[in-house]
Amino acid sequence: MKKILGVALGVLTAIGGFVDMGDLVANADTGARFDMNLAWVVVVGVVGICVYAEMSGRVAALCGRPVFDLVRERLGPRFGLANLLASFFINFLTLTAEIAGVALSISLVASVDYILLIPLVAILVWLVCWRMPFETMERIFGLLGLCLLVFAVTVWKIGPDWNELLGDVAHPHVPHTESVYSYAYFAIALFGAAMTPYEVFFFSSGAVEDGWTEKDLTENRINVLVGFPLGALLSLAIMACAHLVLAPRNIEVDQLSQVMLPVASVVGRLGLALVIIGVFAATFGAALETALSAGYVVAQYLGWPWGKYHSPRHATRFHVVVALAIAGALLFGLTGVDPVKVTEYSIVLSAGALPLTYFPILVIANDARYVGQEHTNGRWLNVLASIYLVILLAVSAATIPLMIITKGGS
Amino acid sequence: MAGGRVLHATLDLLDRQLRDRRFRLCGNVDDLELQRDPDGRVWLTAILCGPGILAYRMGRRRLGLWLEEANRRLHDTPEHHEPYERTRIPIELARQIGPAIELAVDADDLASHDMERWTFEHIIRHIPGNAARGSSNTTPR
Repeated sequence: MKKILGVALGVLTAIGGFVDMGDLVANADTGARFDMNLAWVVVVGVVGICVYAEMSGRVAALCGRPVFDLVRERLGPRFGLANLLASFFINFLTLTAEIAGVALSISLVASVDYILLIPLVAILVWLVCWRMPFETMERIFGLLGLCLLVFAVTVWKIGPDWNELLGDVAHPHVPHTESVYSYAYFAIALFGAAMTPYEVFFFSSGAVEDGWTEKDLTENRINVLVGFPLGALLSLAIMACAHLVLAPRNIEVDQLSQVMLPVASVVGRLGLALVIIGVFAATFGAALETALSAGYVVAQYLGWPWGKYHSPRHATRFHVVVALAIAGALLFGLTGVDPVKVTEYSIVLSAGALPLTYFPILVIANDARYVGQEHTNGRWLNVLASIYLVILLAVSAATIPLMIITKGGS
Repeated sequence: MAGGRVLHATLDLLDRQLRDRRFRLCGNVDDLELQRDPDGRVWLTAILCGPGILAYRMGRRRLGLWLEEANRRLHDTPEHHEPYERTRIPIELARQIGPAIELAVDADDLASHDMERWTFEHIIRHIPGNAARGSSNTTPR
């Protein structure tokens, strides 16, 4: 049991990255519009996040330095500050969307307008950040998020033609109803969701919170290799559900309730209950991940004490930043802004800032003074990581033009 | 001053995390103080750290001075008897230089910690539950 709970950090991080509020809808929308022709992007993305999350966790375990420490040390204060502002802004947008997402998932059961639930959700998120031990938090929300596996069960129960399904994955093409640009735009959105920067902020800070040392390097690897592929699997299952159930009926997805439709129609009541719990846990987990990351990045850039392993009185400014981020997201959420649109934009924007976060990780993971000679990257890992750095640069250059050309993927 | 260690200032020192004698995080290396000896060699004499210093280093001199002054006024710093100023840490007090720099000083004596204390006194202290540890099994590193 302890072994299973040991991967909670990886699972929570990955769920928050792959199937948070915006991604739930984006995945289903992709499946309904492009069938499985974009599934390969999720596969490419999950390898990338595994490569970099493993490095960030290893560095954190060996020298106790989380990602945003490295960002300032290796990029210098100026680029570090640019990254800080971009990351904080993206984090804030995502947090807004997640809080609204939690409210939406509760409103499906409580039949109260979700706007009215936003303040309650914001207070709950703050309370968990303020009081709940990190370990308890990652276990509760990581494990409850696994209820989303009901999407995989749904695909299996539908019993699709696996050859056809996997054929689309292996031989993707642009459907004739869509333009090349919108195909590329959705590809970037999926890739950005897989590699959102707050995943490594949260994962590496969580490694410090959980007190990882050299002894925990295997645990780091297991967390990465179980957590992120699981997140990708959920993401693909949601896509496949939409492709199999929604696409034939010409349903375009732009709401959370439509995402759950295939599960409800195929698995029935129990399925619907599970999926609502799963969505609640995933969005709540992502809200915690982004709220805490807001505190992590600011505190680590400025050298303040941070983290839940201290009591709030020993990380005072950190807790103030977290609380302010939540309060800001609450106010922004109350304006009734569409949470789906907000995350979609934030994911695409974050794709533009990716290289600034991942480059320092790669440099430090090769620095023996940080990780010790025997734990620096091997040659093949460096080759793979460098290839991904090139992809990240290309993606970040293409992001803004594509956003303009496709008018946000519409 | 013979036998100094050779360090690459930008790579090994600038922007590193500082930790005090009780391993508390207490700011970053915002800037360095260098002195030239009669032979023309340059020695590192102190680590500079605290409000305004980073802004000053980044070329925002007026902002830097303003931040430093604001911090001083806000905290009404009493006369202290430490062998260092509140933003200047002599390099002799750096016990270990690695991925983080360990100092033989107390965070409470550094200007970089003033806001942390102010935030406690004015905000955190008034919220219930501020003393509860978030986790049981971790020692700060």
